[in-house]
Amino acid sequence: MKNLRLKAARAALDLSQQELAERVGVSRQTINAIEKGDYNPTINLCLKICHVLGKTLDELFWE
Amino acid sequence: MSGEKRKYDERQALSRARAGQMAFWILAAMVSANCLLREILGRPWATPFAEEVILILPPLIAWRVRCIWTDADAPLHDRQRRSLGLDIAKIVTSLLLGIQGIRRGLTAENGMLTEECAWLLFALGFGAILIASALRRRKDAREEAEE
Repeated sequence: MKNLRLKAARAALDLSQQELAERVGVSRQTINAIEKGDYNPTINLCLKICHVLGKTLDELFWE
Repeated sequence: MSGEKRKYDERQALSRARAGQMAFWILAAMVSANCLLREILGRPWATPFAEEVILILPPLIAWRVRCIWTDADAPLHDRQRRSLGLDIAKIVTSLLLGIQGIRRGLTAENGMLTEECAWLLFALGFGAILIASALRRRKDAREEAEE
């Protein structure tokens, strides 16, 4: 299932997938896969993404 | 780069592990097929070197192609582009050797596949890797444009 909230949060900070990936410490394709719903990140990666985007787990990843 | 551990992110590590599993099953299937073929023919079907290459190369190529397609072939801090010239040189060299082998004949008098087949297989393998890399780059460009 696509993660549109993640995409929106990234866009709100005017970050590209590459920029977000570099800040989080993963590859651009990983961020793309998470946004498209092709990959379920571990809790550690979710926390890193939330920390970079300034959001909570509920806001980005809770269904 | 020196002293820095090659690091794959979690998705890449998972993808590489899955590619490894796939390669293992391909190898197992090929070894089984090899045994069956030997049993049916009652003799080896290729010279030792050709047999080794034909058994080992396809799983290796499959693993590499899958890693390239899922962007798990290079760690995060080692994303330099492969040299296209070097890839093409590998393919051309293998093809030339393979074509030379075809002209000499891929099979010996007793019907066994000879070493010349190995070079053709190398060329096909390098070609598959090159095509996978090119398709991957196209997909990356499309994804970046769609952001």
